[in-house]
Amino acid sequence: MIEFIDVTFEYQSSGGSVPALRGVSTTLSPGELVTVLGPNGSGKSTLARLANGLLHPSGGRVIVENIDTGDAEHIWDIRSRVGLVFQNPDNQIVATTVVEDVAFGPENLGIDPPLMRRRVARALESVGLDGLEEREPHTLSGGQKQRLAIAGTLALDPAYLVLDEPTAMLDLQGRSDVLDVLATLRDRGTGIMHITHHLADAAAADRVLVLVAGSIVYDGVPERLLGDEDMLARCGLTVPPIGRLAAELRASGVPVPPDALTAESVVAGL
Amino acid sequence: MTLSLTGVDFTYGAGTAFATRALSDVDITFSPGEVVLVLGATGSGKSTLLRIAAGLLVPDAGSVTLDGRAVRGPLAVVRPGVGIVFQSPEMQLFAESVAADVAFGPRNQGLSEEDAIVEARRALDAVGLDPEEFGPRSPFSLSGGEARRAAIAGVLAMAPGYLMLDEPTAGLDPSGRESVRDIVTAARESAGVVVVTHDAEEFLGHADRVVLLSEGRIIFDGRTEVLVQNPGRFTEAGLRAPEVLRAQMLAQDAGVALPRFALDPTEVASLLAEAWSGPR
Repeated sequence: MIEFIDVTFEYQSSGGSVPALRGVSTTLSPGELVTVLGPNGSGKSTLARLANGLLHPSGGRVIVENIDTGDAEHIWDIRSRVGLVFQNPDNQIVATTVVEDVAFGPENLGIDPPLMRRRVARALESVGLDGLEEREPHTLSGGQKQRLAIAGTLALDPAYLVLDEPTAMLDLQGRSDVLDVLATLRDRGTGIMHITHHLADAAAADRVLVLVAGSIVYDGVPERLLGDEDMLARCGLTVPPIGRLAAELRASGVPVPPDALTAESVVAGL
Repeated sequence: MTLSLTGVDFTYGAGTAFATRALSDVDITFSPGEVVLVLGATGSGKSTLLRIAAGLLVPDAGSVTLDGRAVRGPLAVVRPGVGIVFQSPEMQLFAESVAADVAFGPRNQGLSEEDAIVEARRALDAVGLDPEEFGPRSPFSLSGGEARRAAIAGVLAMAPGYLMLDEPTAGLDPSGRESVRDIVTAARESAGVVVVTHDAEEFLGHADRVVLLSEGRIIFDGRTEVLVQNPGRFTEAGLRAPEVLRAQMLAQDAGVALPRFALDPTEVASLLAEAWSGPR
């Protein structure tokens, strides 16, 4: 489990210190998909970088499977347990073929070749890129590139995956493919923290965390958040058109569940 | 002032082993007062189209004309020209104050310092940043949404006849996206607006016309309403239709008889609810 215990974080700037997180406590368990929502500047990305010791809290503690991220001796254990994926896949691709790109991480850790090959194959299969091993990464679509970046992290066999707006630069198809991969990984036991601006992404989560100005204002199941318009407004979240359609249909007596935020789930009610 | 691309071809790295065809035989005309949405999957040629229309890239074949006159070289430096807002434009803010940054463009166009300041104030007003409050601030002290708006103001200050934006809302939170959408649609009062994006949902309801690009070719160019009635065209362009349209497509596939498709959730709800209860 990853535990955030009363975590504060302040960025130092020329004008003094700027608080990014103010007393945040939450957890991420194996096999759990947590979606993190919140406006720009609410502290979401800071939370992601604290999860694997890329940043250290100014106050409070971050514990990864009983190891404090402040424990310099074990920082590489922590980094191999918690994989980070960022917004722009182009900045995360290093090699000239898909398979070499995924192998880059485990190769650098000196993992023995037969095990490495198994891990690379499994990582590519998990993200649905098996069969594209010899492709040059720049010929992939945006969604495929982001799944390649995820595979590169998976090849290190992390127990947790933290993704900071992994779909921000993708089209709707690419986004939906990445969301499918996250659900698959969760089902296989990976703990996933998915940071996003898209409220619709929350419908697939086990738990939703909303950050506003560095504090958690909601931590619970998606159904309750998505059904509570006042709460959504307070969190600065807007319901996507499909959610408004679902609400209108419910109001006219069509049985559409409150967390229906995809065309499929809305039409299932009809 | 009509901006036309006729028979435009463009290949990156032409004559090398890495040659990549980006646009093939593109014909398109833009008019003032119109918001045109250019949609296409990654690599469909959207950004290339924008750069050619703004005179930043010269086509291998075909021509770009502004009011019938052939265009050579960047169109931002002339008034009224073609202003282009690139992806993540806030990365390009550089001056010591927001006011100086926004005044840089009109100064470059040859305006006096006084006139440039007037233009900068007008542009900051247009993007909803109070010139008194934001003008003196460092660009680096702005929030993500404010910085994006300041960068758009820098282009508006050059009084472009055409405003072209590449993924203008990417990476912004919902309130930031809404304010950028409002600025972009309001700009049609003074300019022709062209928005390039892969997020069909974001601007579809605000565009007069939509162009679908697929592998460097235009496969649809028509009124937004026409595209809404033919959502299969999204799939042909390798795109997913917006969820609300997809819901109607799925409902129709499942045998729900809809008289027409719509974008507005309230209208869609009544169409679906009527069709759902209708035959029972």
